Amino acid sequence: MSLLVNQVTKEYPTRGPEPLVVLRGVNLQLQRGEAAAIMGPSGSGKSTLLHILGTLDRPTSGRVTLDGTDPFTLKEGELAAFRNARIGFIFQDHHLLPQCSILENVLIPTLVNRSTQARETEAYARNLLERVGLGSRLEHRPAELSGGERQRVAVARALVLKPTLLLADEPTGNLDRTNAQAVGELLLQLHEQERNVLIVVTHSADIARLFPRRYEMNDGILEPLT
Amino acid sequence: MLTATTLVVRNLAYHWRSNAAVLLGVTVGAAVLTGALLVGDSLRGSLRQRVEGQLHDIDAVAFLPRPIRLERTDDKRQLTDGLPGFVAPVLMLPGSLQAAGDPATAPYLGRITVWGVDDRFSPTSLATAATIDWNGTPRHIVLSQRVAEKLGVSPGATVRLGVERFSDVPRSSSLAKRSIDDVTSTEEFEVVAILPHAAPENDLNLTPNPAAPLNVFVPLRALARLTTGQAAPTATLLLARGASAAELDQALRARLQIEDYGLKMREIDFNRRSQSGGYVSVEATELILPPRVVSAIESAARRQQWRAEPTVIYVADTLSHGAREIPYPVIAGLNPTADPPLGPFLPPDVDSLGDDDIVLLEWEGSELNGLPAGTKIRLRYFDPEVEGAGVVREAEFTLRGYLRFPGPAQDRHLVPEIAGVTDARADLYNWDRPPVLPKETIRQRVPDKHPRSQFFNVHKATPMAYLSLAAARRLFSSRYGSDTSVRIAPPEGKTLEQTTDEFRDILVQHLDPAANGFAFDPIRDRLLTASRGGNDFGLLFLGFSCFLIIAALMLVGLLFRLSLDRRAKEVGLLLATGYTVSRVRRLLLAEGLLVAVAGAALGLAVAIAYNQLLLAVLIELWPDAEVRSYLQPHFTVWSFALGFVATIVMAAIALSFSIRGLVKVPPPALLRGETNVVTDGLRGPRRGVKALAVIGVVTGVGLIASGGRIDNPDIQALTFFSGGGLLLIAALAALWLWMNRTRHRVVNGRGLSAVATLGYRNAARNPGRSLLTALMLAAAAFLLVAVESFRRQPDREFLSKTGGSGGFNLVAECDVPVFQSFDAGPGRADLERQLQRAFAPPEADPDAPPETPEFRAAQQQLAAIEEVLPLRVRAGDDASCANLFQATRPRVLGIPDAFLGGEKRFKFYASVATTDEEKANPWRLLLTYDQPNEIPVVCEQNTAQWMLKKAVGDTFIMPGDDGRDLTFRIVATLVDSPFQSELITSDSHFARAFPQHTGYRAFLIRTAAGTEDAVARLLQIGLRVNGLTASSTRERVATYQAVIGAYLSTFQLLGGLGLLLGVLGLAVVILRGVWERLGELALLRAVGYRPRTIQFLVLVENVFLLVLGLLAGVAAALVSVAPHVAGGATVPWANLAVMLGLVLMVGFAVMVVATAGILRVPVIPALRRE
Repeated sequence: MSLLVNQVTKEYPTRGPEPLVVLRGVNLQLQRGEAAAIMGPSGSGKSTLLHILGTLDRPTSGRVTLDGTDPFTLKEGELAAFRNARIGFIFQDHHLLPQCSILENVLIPTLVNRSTQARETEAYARNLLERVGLGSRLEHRPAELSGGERQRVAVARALVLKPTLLLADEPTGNLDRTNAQAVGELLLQLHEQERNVLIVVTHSADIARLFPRRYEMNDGILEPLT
Repeated sequence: MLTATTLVVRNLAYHWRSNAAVLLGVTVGAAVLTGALLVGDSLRGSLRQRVEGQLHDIDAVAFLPRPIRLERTDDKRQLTDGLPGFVAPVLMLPGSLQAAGDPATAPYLGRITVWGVDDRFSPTSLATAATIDWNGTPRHIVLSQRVAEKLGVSPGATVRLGVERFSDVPRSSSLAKRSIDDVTSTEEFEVVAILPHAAPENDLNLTPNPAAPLNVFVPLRALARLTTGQAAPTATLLLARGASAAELDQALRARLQIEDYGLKMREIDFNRRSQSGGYVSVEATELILPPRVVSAIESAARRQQWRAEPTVIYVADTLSHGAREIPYPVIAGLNPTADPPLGPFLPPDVDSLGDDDIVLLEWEGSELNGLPAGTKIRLRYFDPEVEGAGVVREAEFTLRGYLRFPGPAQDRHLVPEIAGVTDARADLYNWDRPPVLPKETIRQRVPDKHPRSQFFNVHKATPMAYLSLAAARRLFSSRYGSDTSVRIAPPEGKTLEQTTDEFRDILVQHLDPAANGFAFDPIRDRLLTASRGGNDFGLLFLGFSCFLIIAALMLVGLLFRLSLDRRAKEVGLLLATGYTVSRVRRLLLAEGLLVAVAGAALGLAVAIAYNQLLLAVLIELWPDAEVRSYLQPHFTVWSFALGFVATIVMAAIALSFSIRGLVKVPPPALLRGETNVVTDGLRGPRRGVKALAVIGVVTGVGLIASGGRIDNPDIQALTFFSGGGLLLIAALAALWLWMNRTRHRVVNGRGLSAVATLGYRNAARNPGRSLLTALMLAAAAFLLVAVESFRRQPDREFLSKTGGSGGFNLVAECDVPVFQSFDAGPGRADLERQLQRAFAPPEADPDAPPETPEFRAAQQQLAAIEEVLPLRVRAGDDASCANLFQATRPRVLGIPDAFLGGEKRFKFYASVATTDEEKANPWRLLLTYDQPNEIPVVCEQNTAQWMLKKAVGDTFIMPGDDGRDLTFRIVATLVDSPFQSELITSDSHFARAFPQHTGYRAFLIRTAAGTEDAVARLLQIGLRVNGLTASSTRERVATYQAVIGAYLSTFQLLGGLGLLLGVLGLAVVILRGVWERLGELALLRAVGYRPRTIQFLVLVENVFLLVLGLLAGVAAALVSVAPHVAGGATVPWANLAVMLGLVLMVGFAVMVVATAGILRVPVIPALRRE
């Protein structure tokens, strides 16, 4: 059992007497090799769920475990290391470092990882870039890439430490239809190769359709789509 | 309704926090810029105020060439009567003062200015002044506060005042007396009052020198009696106010009489005796007639068509032929063919006299009687200029015959009047003019019954030998001239008395008052000009503040841009809604300018405090506490206006640059919060930058290497700093290239080292900004290090003969000249006699003091004196860096010719030497440099460069004693020498340029190590009446270097403040970087970087810039000062290390604080760019 989300709620205090409830008892269970797309209207809580799954935010109640570990019981440093080793992120904005080459951008997460070897990770990063179609442009800077290419670098960066959980928050939000489709397919392709847990939050029905499991978030409640 | 104006106002109000930061930046810029200008105002204002105070309302001063009797011989009125405005005569003399008590230990002060005043210039601020009889001769003295405090005396006390005794014969002539007792005069005075603290007379001073005057006031006639022996009102100065110098000069000319020029007229009447008539003899009161006066007399006589015959009289040592001799013959040089009553002085059958011919007087008992014509006669005589031991010279003449009495030769009046030599009571044995005519030697050579003695008893100083005028002038000329009289034959029908009266009036019209020293100096104007300072401190401080100002404005630009970045969406919206780029730019600029105006206005107020701070620092560091008494803040509207406008203009430029960058960003990007135009990092003039780096290195090194061979210090300094600056630019160009490289080693690895590698690569993220940061830091470090490298102290070799001191460990100066150097001979004997007297019990006879044990111990201590270098001094402005005034008439020293030709002493900086000998010892240039009308001089390098604004080879012009301009050529400069306030020339050049300045008033002394203090003390006791003060050369040089150090420290303070702003700029850059990279930093958090690791990452990239900037600045500075270091300077490594360590620490601390915000960066909004 890889990812287990049990009765996770998230509330934010407000000026009024009642808190703002964003997530209401979310339950989710995904095994390695499984991929899911989460859809839903803006403000429904899907990104909040993704941030909690990525340990960037904490649930108000409920439990999240990844391969049996509850990351929110870890100290801050351990949590960062956990995130580094076990979780990969892809955002709507690629957040590439303009001063670094695309190979270096992919290697950024490895610098603070102590359980892998630099040479091996570099080889793997090259391999990943090869696989995302940028093998001939390792020395290029982000400014020299198109939007779709940049997002592919971000995908490679998210996978460089072979995370158990790969989270993508609107990964195609800034891309045109063709590029969005390509990135979506790439994500799934790499997911199948890496056998990780992939969760993608998207507004795009086209992208969601690529995924075997789909969920919809409505007013903080996560429900599977049939 | 919303208008553009209200929008600006609302923006200002809404963004008040960021505007406040910009405002503070502008405030700092305005404060620094205006503050620097105010420093200049303060220096000028303080010096001006000091001049106003020290001149005591005096507008003009006539420095009289000699003490002048005020009473006129014709109308019995005073010289000052009838002069326009208010004119007061003053007898001003340098002197010394000692409190009552044991002469060896009682408190003593040299460098006293003694003001002999009558009630026209008595201290008005003294309540009891009216009770003092300033017109009488009471031995009363009023002390200034400083003198009273230093001497520790109060009213009622008795003090001993010592001044120079005036001589009727030039001290350097062979007939003058020169012992300490002969040249000084001391008397006890009762202290009747002490000037109150606020009394302006405390500061009365006629020179633009930094030292506080030590003034005392005594009744003029009492001082005249002390110094001349007669209580007649006498003056050396005329102080005037209310009239211009030109008006005064004109009026003074009409009041002058020949006595004021040092002339007198004697009627030599032969009629009663030989019926051969008589003549009028025009003579000098100081024995020798200056050549220009002789010319004036001859010219006056020519105009009247009267006959005039210049005459030279000299007392020789011996006239001899073989073993036959005449001791102490008086020799006359004149026109031997002159008609009666002025001649002739030719033997029968001789009609002319050649320049090698001699005519002897035949007198009873002469050993040279009866020699045939053609006999060789040997003349031994003392060199006419004597200071110390006399130098005997010889000449040979051919005897042409004899003169006999009666006749023209029987004229004792050919010899001018000399008290004790020519008067009726004169006694040959009491001539006593050591070392030329010592009493003991005279008595030994001329026993009682000796014919020479008998001749003197009858004929007094009647000449015994006659030479042609030309021959006598050749042998007996000194710097003062040679002629002792000009004899005027009365015209037909005029009596001697009529001739005298008429000639007196005519002669005075032919004498040039200005050339003879009778001219009013517009001292107020001159000192006010000098008060503008040797250097324009405003510009100097502005120059050194430049970096600070630029740093402040860069900071303003950065802060403003930071503020704009936060409003990127707002700007994007304006552009999106149809505002044009220029309109948005104007709107933002208007907003920024309003902030800048407020900041600049605030900066003007802060500038006042900043100016005070700088002055306080300068005063604190300045080695002379006196500067505290007058250096005060002063302001001019001009400085405020200039500071305000310049700040606004510069701020506008900085703001424009900031805005320009932002409005280039496309509106959609702005709306997304992006504030930079994304570039691919490949553009840019790489080739140009590469060329710049290469040219910078090559030209920089070339300039620095060639700078060492340039003599002109300004160009040399420019070369070094330009070279250093080019190296700095090259280093920064290299950094730029590195940052814009496309190929780097892949950042990979693990742990902090890998993160650090990423960090330093991140420094290249925004090359322009990183370069700017590095530039600010590098420039500040360059300034700090370069300035620090110029800080000096006397080095270890200072006391060696080729070190800064020339091997002399003591320097002594006195107010009353010493004529016989005290290292040996009569000078040493004289000094010992004074010490013997000082160490004798009070009841002992001062003329025959006993040899006490203290005296014998002193004698032994004096043996530690190994070498004395006596120096002549022509007083003038202190040209050292300690003088804030402009030194237009620097002090001049005369150094013995014998010293110059010897081994190389002192440490030279540069010279115009061309021959090997000159290069080996540049002092020789003072002997070998031979250009007509130029006086070669050596001076300290700093004095030449900063005070005189000259370099080696340049000339410097200042008026001589006669008011005519003298041209001095700087032939070499010294470094670390005790001669920082003067120009030095050879004795012979000195004598030619300043014939009136005789004796030695400065001494460099070498003593055995460790005996300096004891020797200094003994010299101060023995020569206290000369006002001698002695101090170690090391201390003196250290004091000068402390002044330089004060400047350097102040400039370093400015550099340090600039560095602080640089570091603050770095902090702003960090903050802005963090702001721009929130998403990136959040991503790093998202991929597992700990906040501390991210802080470390950002720290590394900025520490890299900090260290790189500092290293580039330090390296460039060290290279640029390398030739200076090679020239003997030492780099104070420890100071530099501490300073740079401190900068690193402060920079690091600031960065830690600036990056602390990273820990609080909210990850999710940042990732979403919210």
